[in-house]
Amino acid sequence: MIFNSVSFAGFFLVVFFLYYSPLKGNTKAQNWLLLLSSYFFYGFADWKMVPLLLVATTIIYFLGKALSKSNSDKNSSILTYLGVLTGVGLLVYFKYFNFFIDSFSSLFNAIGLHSNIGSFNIIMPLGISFFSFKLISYVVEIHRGKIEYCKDFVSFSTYIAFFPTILSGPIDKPNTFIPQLQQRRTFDFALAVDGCKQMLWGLFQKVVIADNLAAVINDVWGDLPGQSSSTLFLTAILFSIQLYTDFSGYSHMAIGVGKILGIQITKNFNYPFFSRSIDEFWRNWHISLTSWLTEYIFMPLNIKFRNLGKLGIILAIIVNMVVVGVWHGPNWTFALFGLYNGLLFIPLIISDSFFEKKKLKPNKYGLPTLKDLSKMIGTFLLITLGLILFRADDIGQAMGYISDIFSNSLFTIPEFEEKFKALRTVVFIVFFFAIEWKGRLGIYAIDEIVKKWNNPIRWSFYSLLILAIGMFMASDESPFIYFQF
Amino acid sequence: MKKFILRLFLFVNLAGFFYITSLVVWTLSAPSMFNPNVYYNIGGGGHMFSRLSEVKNQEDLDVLFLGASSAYRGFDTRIFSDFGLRTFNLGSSSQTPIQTKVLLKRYLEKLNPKAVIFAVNPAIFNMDGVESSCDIIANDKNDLNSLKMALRINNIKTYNTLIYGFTRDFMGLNTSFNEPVTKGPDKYVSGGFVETERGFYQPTQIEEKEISINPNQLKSFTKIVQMLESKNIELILVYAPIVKDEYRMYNNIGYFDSLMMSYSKYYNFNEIVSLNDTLHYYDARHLNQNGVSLFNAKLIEIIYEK
Repeated sequence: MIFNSVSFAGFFLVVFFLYYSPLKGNTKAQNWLLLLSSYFFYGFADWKMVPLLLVATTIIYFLGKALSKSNSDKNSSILTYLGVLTGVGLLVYFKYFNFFIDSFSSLFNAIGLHSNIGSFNIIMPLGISFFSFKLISYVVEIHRGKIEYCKDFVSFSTYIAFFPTILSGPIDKPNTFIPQLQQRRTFDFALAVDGCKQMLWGLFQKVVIADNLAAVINDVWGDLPGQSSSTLFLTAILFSIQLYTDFSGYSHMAIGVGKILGIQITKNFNYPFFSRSIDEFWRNWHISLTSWLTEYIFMPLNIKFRNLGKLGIILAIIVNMVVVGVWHGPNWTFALFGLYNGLLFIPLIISDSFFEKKKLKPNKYGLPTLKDLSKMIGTFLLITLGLILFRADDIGQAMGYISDIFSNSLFTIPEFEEKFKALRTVVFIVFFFAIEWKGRLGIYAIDEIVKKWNNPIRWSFYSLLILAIGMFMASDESPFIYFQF
Repeated sequence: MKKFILRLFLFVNLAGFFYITSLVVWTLSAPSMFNPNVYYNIGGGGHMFSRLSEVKNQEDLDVLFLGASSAYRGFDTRIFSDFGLRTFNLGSSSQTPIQTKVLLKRYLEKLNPKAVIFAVNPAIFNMDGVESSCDIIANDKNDLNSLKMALRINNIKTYNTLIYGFTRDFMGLNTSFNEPVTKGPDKYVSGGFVETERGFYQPTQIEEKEISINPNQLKSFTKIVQMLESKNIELILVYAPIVKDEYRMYNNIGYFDSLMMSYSKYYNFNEIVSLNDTLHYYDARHLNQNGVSLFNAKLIEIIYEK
């Protein structure tokens, strides 16, 4: 049941009316409804994994309770380790176990020691990378004294399983999310309208840009031999845009659904393609994941390595970025993607421009200055190069793709099977980035733009977006890329 | 919340009006490549317009043929007529059970056939039915059944084409349309059959296929069987012959055979007749006129002479 489906619309309508009509003002009952509907939503995607979600939630709930009552540092540390181990253990077992076995097996075979260990039949639960991080942060935050344990099991379980975010995030922190569940929630007109707008913008990104690009890009990736360099180069660029619009589209829809239910969800993207450096890009891309990892991996490592000076920062950032990469999946391509991005930070750290935050000042025409524009393009191309690793099935394929880009045919006209679809989508991409640029100061682009307009113009703009969705959306429903993680 | 619902209601109505108006104006004026989500092809391949115009004057048939292109290119009504049977071929391009059901709801009462011969094959149970639904929407007068069909298919292309189709019907834009009898190698034959002069099959590489059944299609198929049973109309399921390479590519054809047999009388002609791939087909899935003659003769022999 994906957001852009009729079944989700039906499901959400029922939840919406129950939430605000018979259960209006009754916080406890509303939380029960959110919990049950979240489990229904999760079960609809993969009912076999519902017990796992429930058991993991229950374990962490009781660990959190024990942690808050523990009066010795030693006990508290042990309980925290147990909690972290539970979250990490879930990830390692369901997501990486077979990968480790295969890798060791290949390693043994490579050095002439034949192993008979085969892969296990382990099915990865949907959304595990997202909800296990929530479980971990809950225990760690209690241990750090930043939050009290959540006495209400229903609120805690709702935080973990909240249906708009369970499958692909954003990964909310307990200290921002749980308190919202304990507050009285009545219908907020402005917030609901805001949520609808954000959903519409997310839907446009997903179905008009990302899904149409998917068809064009999959054609090329499905038949790599013989593709010209220019086609490969342009496909790599289009994939960066597909990934962004797919995931940011999902995040906007999730946040929009949350707003309609009166719950604010963490922002996940902040116009990353207008970033002028790698560190700025990673501050603006998948914010909920990068901030989670910054807090729980980069900062502790940075403190640990502080005696090493800049080398310490470099080590911390490289470990952090490798974890970012590996988080996406059990494949060496992701590890290399993380390492590559980590290495890109080194010049910034050495030149002391890491952490530097310079405000983006447009020129007198409201456009980026040439200097900023060249930096944006440079950053985008560096990220695009890394995303080839992200998209490839294995490192060999990625390396082949990259080396094929640098050949004579780079200066030929790119060839696509669905030329017209590609061209049409490029028109929408130009429109999309123009809107993103104009609205870059807002929480999401169209919010900032439509603020200045009166009702008829605003409504006409929304109607145009709906028309574009209906007339140009990809007619085959395709799942969100981040569902696989 | 009341204010929100009222505003939303007002917006949905205004946006809906804007959407329909823009869709119709855009589709009328822009070339089809600018309309990826409207597939309105009146008088397109398959002569559906001629067939649906003719079916309105038919009644009390001995046999009604249904199915995808293997039906309208595979059952030559002239051969059956020579045998003394009054038949009509209501096949259409990529017709899946969802569309068959719509056509039966519209025409079964009037056609009142003694028997229905339904050309089945694994592909029609696996398709989404978008292409065929748009074909029917464009070439027939639309009604509530068209809407039900669109809801069942649930694809933006079908919805948009239906909106456009309803508008064209309402404005009477199709009243002067005439479809030529011959289009390229295809010639429409009275009774719904399409004769082709496409020559002979050239072998190509064919990939292995797994039969998978779309539950939506099976649901409609079950309804069709029930509908015919309730009217005491004999249903004969026929898997028309295809080239051997194509047929062998299905690795679980036994499953399909047993599924069909569980519904009604079923004949898999790939196991019954032995045709020559190069002489009797024009492509991997369609018989040429030589093949049609042999296949139809065998069909009549099995069903009527025995």
